[in-house]
Amino acid sequence: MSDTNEMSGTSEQRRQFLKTSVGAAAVAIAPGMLMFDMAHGKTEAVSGKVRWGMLINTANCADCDKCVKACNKENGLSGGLSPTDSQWIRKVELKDLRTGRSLALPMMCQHCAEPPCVDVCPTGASFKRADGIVLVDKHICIGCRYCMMACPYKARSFVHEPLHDQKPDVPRGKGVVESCTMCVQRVDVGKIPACAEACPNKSILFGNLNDPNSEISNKMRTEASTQVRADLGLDTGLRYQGI
Amino acid sequence: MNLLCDQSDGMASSSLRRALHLDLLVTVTVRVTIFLVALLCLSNIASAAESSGSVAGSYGMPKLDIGKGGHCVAPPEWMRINHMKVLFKQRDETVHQGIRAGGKYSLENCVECHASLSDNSVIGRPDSFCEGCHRYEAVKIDCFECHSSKRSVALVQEVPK
Amino acid sequence: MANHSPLRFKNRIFYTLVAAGGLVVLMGLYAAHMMETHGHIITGMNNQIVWGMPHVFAIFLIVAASGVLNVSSIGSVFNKPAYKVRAPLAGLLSIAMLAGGLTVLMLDLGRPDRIIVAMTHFNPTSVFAWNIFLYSGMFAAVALYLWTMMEKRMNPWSKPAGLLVFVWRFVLTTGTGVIFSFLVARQAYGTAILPPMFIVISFAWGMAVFHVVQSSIYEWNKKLLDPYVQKRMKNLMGVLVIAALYFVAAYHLTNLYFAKQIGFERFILLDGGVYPLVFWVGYVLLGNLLPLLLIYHPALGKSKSIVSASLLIILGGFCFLYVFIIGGQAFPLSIFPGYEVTSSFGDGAIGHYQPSLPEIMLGLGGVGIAFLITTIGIRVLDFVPHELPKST
Repeated sequence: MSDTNEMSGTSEQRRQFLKTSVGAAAVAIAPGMLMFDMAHGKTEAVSGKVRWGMLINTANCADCDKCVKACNKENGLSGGLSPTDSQWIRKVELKDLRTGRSLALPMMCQHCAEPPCVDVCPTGASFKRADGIVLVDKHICIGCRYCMMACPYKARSFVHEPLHDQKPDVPRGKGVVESCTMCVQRVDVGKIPACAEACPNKSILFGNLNDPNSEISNKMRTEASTQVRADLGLDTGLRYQGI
Repeated sequence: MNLLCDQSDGMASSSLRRALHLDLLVTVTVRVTIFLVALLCLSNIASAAESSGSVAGSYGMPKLDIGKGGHCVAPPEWMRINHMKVLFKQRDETVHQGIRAGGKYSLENCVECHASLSDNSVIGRPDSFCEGCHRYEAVKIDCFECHSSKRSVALVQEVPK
Repeated sequence: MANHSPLRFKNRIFYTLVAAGGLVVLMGLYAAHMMETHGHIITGMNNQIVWGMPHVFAIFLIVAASGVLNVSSIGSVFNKPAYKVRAPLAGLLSIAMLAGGLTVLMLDLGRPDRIIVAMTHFNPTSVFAWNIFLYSGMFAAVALYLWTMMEKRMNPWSKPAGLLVFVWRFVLTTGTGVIFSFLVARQAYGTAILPPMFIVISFAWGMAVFHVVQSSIYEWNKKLLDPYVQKRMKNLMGVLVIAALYFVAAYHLTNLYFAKQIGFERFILLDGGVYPLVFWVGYVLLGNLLPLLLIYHPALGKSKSIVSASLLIILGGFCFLYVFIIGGQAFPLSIFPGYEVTSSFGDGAIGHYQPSLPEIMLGLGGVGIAFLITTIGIRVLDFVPHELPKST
C-alpha cells in the first residue's frame, strides 16, 4: 500500500513533468509546423471566408514610387514606360480642377467584387478567386483584349513581345493579358503584397476585409474612405482615403 | 461405346479413333508451340522497348540530362506517361484555388531538380530534360514561353542586384 | 469563234481575279505570321489603343455580312420578286464576308493558337462567347437558306429558312453592337443605342457592298440590270443611308446633352485632330452626303453614280469605324472625375495610334478572303441572279 502510494507520488510527478515538457515542446514546434505549411503553400483551396483588400492613404503618399519599383522587382516587370510596356501599378498625380489641390496615389487593379473584366472574358480566363483576388488564368487567355476595353481603371496590360527571364513564381508571356495579382505568390504563403511592404510611409494597408477585427476593417469602420468610380457599383477591394 | 462400335469396322474404327487422337495431339502441339513463340517475340519487343533507355540510341531515343536527378516525386515510367495530366491538374488547382501543395507537382519544382547542372535550364539543348524527349516525339511545348525554364539559383547568380 | 472569245476573256478575268485575291490573302496571312512570331509590338496597337485597324476591317466585314442579307430578306420574307432572284448572291456574299471578318479577328488574337480553347471554354456572361455561337450558327443558317433556294425540291422551305436567317442576323448584329454597349466605363460606348444603330448601319453597308458586287458581275458578264429594279434598289439604299445617319446623329446629340460626355464629344467632333477630320469629311461628307446626292439628284442616279455612291458609302463605313473604335479608345478613361490626371500609363492623356503595315495587310487579307470566296462561288455555282422578265 505504502509502496503504491510512494509510487503514485513519483509517478504523479513524472506524469506532470511529461505533460509539461510535451506541452512546451508542442508550443515550441507548432508555430514551426504552421510556418512550414505557410512556407510551402496551402494544401486546401482558398475560400470566401477571406476577402483580401487594401486601404490606401493618399495623405501619406509621398513623392516616391517605391511601390512601383517593388512591384516590378517582385513580378519581373521590365519597368519600361513605353505604351507597349506592362505596368501593373502606377503612380497617378491628381489635381482638382476647381480647387487646385494636388495629390498622388498608386493605381492598380481594384480587385472588384463585380469585375467587368470577368464578365466580358470569352473563355473565363479573367476570373475572381474565392478570396476576392481577380486574376488572369494565362493558360486559357486567348489575348483578345476585351477585358482591357472593359476595365474602368486601365488596370490591365497586354504583353506585346516575347519575354525572357521571368520570375519562377510569376509566369508571364507574350500574347496574354496581365494585371496586378495582389502578389498571390506572396499572399498564399502568408506574406503581404510587395507594394504594401515597400511603402516607406505604410500608406498601403493590406488585410482581410471579411475579418471584422483586422486592422484594415477597423480603420475602414472608423475613418472615411472611398472607392474609385464608386458610381459604377463594382464594390472594389481597394479603397482610398483622401480623394 | 460397345453398342456404337460393331464388329464390322472394328479394326478401321479403332485405328481411326487412334488417328483422330494423334491428329488432335499434333494440332494441339503445333498450336501451343506457335503461341509460345509468339509470346516470346512479344516479350522480346516489349523488353527491348523498355530497356531502350539503357540501350541508348538503338531506337533513336534521346539520352537526357536529368539535372540533379535522384528520387523524383513519382516513378519515371509513371511520370513519362502521366506528367502532362499531373501538370494540367496542378495548374488549375494552383491558379484557381491557390493550392500550392508544398510545391510537389509544381512546374517550378520540376525545373528546380531537373534543370541541367551545366546551363541551369530544361530547354535549349538536344539533351535538355524537357526538350530532349519532346523534340524526339515532335510534341511542341509552350510552357516555357511564360514559365521560367531555369532553376531559381541560376537567376540569383545571373541578375546582379 | 465569236462564242469562244467572250469565254476566254471571262476565263482570263477569272484567273486574274483569283490570282489577285490570292495574293492579297497571302499577304494577310504573312502579316498574321509576323504578328504571331514577334508579338503585337510590330503593330500600332498598345496598352491604350488595344483594338486597331484589324478590328476596323473585321467589324465592317461582319456588319456588312449581316446587312447584305437584307436583300434576301426583302425577297424571301417580304416577298418582293425583284429581290428574291438576288437572294442567293446575297447569301454567298454574307458567308464570304463573315468568313473574312472572322479570320481577321481570330488571327489578331494574342494567342491565335488557342482557338480550340475559345471553342471549349465559354463564359456565359461574355458577348464574345455568345458571338462564337451566333457566327457559326449564321454560317449554318445561311448555308441552309442557300440550299432551300438552289435545290428545287427545297424551294417551299426557302420562306421559313429566310425567316430564320432574318431573325438570326438581327440577333447577330445586336451581338456586335452590345460588344461595345456593355463597356460601362468608356465614354464612347456603354449606351443602349448601339445595337439598333449597328443594325440600321448594317443595312446601308450591306446594300452598298451588294451594289458594287452586282454591278461588277453584270459589267464583266455583259448582263443588264432592269432600270426599274435598279432605281428601286438605289432608292432603298438612299433611305437606309439616311436612317443610319439619323442613328449616328441621335447618338452624338444625346451625348452632347450630358455634361460629363462633353469632353469626349469635343474630342471626336471638334478638336481631336484626325478623328473629327475623318468623321466629318470621311464619314459625313464623303460617306453620306455625297452618296445621297449621287443617288437622288435627278440628273444622276444611273449605273455609274450608283457604283460610285456605293463605294463612297463603304469608305464612309471604314471612316465611321475608325473614329468609333480607335477614337473611342484614344480618349482617356475618366477614372477621377473632376480631377486633372497624369501618370506614366497614359492616364488623362490622349492615346496615340499609328496604323501599321501588318495591321492593314491583315485587314486587307480578310477582304481578300471574302473576295476569293465570292469570285470562286459565282464561277462554280449558280449565284448570279436570273433576272425576271420585264413584265414582272
